[in-house]
Amino acid sequence: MPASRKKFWGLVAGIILAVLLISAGALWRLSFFFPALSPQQEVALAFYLGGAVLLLITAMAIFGILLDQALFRPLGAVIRGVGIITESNPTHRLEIPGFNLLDELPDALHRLGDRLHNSRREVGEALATGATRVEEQKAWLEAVVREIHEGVVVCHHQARILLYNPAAQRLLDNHEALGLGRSLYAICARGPIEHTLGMLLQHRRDNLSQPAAGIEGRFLCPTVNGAKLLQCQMELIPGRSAAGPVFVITFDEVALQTESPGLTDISLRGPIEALRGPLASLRAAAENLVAFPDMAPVMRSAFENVIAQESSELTDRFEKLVRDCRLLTSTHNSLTDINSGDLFKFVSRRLRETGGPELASSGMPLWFRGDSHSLMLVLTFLAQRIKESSQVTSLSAEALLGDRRVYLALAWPGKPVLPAEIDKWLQQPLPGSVGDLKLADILARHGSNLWSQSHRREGWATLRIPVPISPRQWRQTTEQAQPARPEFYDFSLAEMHGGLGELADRPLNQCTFTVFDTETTGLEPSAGDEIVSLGAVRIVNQRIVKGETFTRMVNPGRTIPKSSVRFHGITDEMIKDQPLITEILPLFKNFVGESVLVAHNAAFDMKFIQLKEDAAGVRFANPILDTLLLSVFLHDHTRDHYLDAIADRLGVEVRFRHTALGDATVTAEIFIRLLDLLKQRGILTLGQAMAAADKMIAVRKQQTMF
Amino acid sequence: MAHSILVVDDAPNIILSLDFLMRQAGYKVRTATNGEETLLAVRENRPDLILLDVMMPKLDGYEVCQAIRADPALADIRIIMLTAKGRAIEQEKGLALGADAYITKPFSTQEVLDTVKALLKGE
Repeated sequence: MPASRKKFWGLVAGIILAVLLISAGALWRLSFFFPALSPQQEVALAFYLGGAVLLLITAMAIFGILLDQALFRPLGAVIRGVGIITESNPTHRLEIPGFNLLDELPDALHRLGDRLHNSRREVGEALATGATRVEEQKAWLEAVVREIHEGVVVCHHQARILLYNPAAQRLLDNHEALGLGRSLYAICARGPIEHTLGMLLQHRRDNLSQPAAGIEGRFLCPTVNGAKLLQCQMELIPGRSAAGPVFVITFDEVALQTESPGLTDISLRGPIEALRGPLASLRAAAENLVAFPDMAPVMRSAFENVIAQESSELTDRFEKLVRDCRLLTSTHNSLTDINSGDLFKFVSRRLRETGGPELASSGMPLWFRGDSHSLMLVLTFLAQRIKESSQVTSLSAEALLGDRRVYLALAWPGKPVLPAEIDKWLQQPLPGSVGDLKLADILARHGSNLWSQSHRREGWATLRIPVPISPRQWRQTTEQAQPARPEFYDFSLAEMHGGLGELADRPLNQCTFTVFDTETTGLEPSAGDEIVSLGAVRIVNQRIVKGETFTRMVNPGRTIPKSSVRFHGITDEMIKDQPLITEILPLFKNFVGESVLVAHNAAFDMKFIQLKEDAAGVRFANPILDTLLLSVFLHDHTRDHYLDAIADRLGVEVRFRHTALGDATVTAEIFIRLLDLLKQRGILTLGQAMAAADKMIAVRKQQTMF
Repeated sequence: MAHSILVVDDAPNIILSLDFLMRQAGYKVRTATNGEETLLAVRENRPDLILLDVMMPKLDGYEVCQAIRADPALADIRIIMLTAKGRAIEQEKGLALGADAYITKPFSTQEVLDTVKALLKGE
C-alpha cells in the first residue's frame, strides 16, 4: 500500500474518530447546551443528532472509499507500472482500474514509455552499427598492417612493444626477443632510436603552437647483433599515455645489408674521381700532340705511350664504375629535415652528460637535410677534439646560410685546427655510429667535408661542416605579405555549371565533395598569373576522408614574384622540376571524379582552372559550391567572410594556412559545419544550396560596393 | 726573367704533359711527386707558382697549401690546385685553405695555361 494511501486512510479514520468523540461528548452533556428541553425532547434530539453523525461518518467513509478506488489505488498501479516501464519494459501498458481520476496521465506515460523504447532501440542499433564498424575497421587495419611489407612496430615507454606485424617478424629474423611488452632495445640499437625519439619530443615541446613544423624521424638503425641495417621512420602518436610517449616505427632493410651505409656514396664517388686522373693525362697528352706537331720524335712517342696506357686504364676503371653503379642504393632515404636549433640543443645536452665542453648556440636556427643521429655524433666528437687540441672549455655553435648549403659551424677563441689534425680526425671511427663509420664516411654521405679557418671575430677560429640545405627553409615564413584574394563575381558559377538535372534533388548529406584550394603566382589569372600548387581533400558522409588527399606542386612556366613567395613559400627552385598544370589537371580530374567541387571564393580558383581546361584536354563540369557565398547566405549579420574569419566564427582550428592542402582542409572543415547550419535553415538538397549561394552573388556585390 | 713553376702530381703521365706544356710556354719548370718533396723544393728555391695536385701520398695538397700559406716568406707564391675531386665542396675547401685557383681534372691544357698566365700577370 502506497504511503499516501496510508496517510489518507489515517486522516479519514482520525476525522471519524474526532467526529464520534465530539458527538459522544455533546450527547453526554446535552442538557448543558439545551437546559430548557424536556427529557422526551432530549431523547429525540439525541436520536436525531446521533443519526446525523452516523450519516456524516457513512458519507465520509463512502467518499474515502471512492477516492481510494479512483485515485490512490490507480496511483499505486501507476507507480508500479512506471517502475516496469523504466526498468524493464518501456512498452508495458499500465494495469489500472477502469474507473479512475488519472485523466491523461496513463496515456502520457504510455507515450513516454514508447519514446523511451524507441530511443533505446535507436541507441542500441547505433551502438551495434558502431561496434560493427569498429570491428570492421579493426579487421581492415589488422589486415593492412599484416600485409604491409615494411615492418611496423608500435612502442611506448622504454621502447616496450605494443604491436608488431609479420613483416617486422620477418625483417628481424623471428628474433626471440620480439614480443608484446618486451623492449625493442633488445633487438635494435638503442642509440639511434633514443636520439630520434628525443629529437621528435623536443621538437614537439618547442613547437606546440606550430604543429605544422613537425619533423620527419628518419634514421638508420642496426640490429643489436649487427646482422642487419634497418632504414627506419619514427612518428609520435598524438596524445600522451601515462607511461610516456607512444611511437610507431616503420622500417625496412637497407638493400646492401653487409656493406656500411656510407659505402654507396663513396663507392660511386671514388670510381668517378678515379676516372679524372687518367682522363686528365689522356687529354693533356692528346692536346699537346695536336698543339705542337713539330715536337721531337722522342717526346711524341712518350705522349703516344701515355695515350695508349691511359686509354686502357680508363677502360678498366669504366667497367668498375658500371659495376658500382648497379650497387647504387639510396642512403639518401635516411636523410631527413633537421632544424639546427634542435640538433645543437641535443649535442649540448650530450656534451654536458659526457663531460665535454659547454656548447652555446647562437644565431637563427636553419633547416637542413641530414642523418640526425650521426650528425649529432659528429658534432659531439668534434667538440671534444677541439676541446683537447685547443684547450677550450666552451664552444659556440651556429648555423650559417649559404646558397645551396647550410654550414654547421663550431667557433672558439684560438687558432684554426691544422689540416693534418683534421685528416687524423676524419679517419677515426665514430663511437656509437651505425656501421662503425669513420667521420669521413659520414661526411661523405652528406656530400660534405670539413675544414677549419679563422672566424670573422678577431682571435677566434671556426670549424665548418657544410650540409645540404632543406627546402623547409622557405616554408617557415607565414607572414601575410599579399592582399587577400579578390572575390570574383563576374561570372556565375550556376550559369557555368547549369543543368544540374536530377542532381539538384540529391540530398546534401549523400553527396561526395572535393574541397580544393590553389596557390598562385598572383591574383590575375587573365593577366598571366598561374597556379603553383593545388591541394584537395575529399568529404564522404560529412567527414573528411583522412589520407585521401591530392597535393601537387606545379611549374607555372614563369617566375614567381617575391611578394607571392613570401605568401606561400613556394620558390622558383622548388617548382622548376615539377610538371606543368596541363599535366596536373587530368590527374586532378581523376581525383575529383563525379564529386561536387567546393572551394572558398571558388570563382577565383575556377578561373585559373578554366583558362587551362582546353590545353589540358579536360573539362570540370562538376557542380560547385562556394563556402564564401554559403557563409554570406547563412550569416548576413557580418561582412567578414574571409577564411580565417569564418574559421574563427565556427570554431574551426586553422593549421597549415597558406599551403594549398592546408587551406583546402580548413575550407573542408568549415564546409562541414556550414552543412549543419544549412540543414537548420531547411536547405537540404544540392540544388537548394546552389540556388542560395547564387542569390548571394548579387548581395555580396552590393555589400562590397560600400 | 722567366717565371718558375713547380708541377706537383703523383701521376707521371700528367707530369709529362704539364712539364712539356709549361716549358713550351717559356716557363722554368721543376717537378715533384709528393707533398714532402714539394715543401723541400719550395724551401730550396722559391717558385713563382705551383700546380698542385690534391690527392698525393704523404702530405696531401691541402696540407702543402696550408703549410705554404703559414710561412710569411712563401706567402706570395701562387697556387693552382688540380684535383680529381670534382665536387664544389672540395673546391670551396681548397680556396678556403689558401689556393688561388682550382682546376678539376680532366682539364683542357689551354685552361691551365690561361690560369697560370693570368695569375702570374697579376704579380
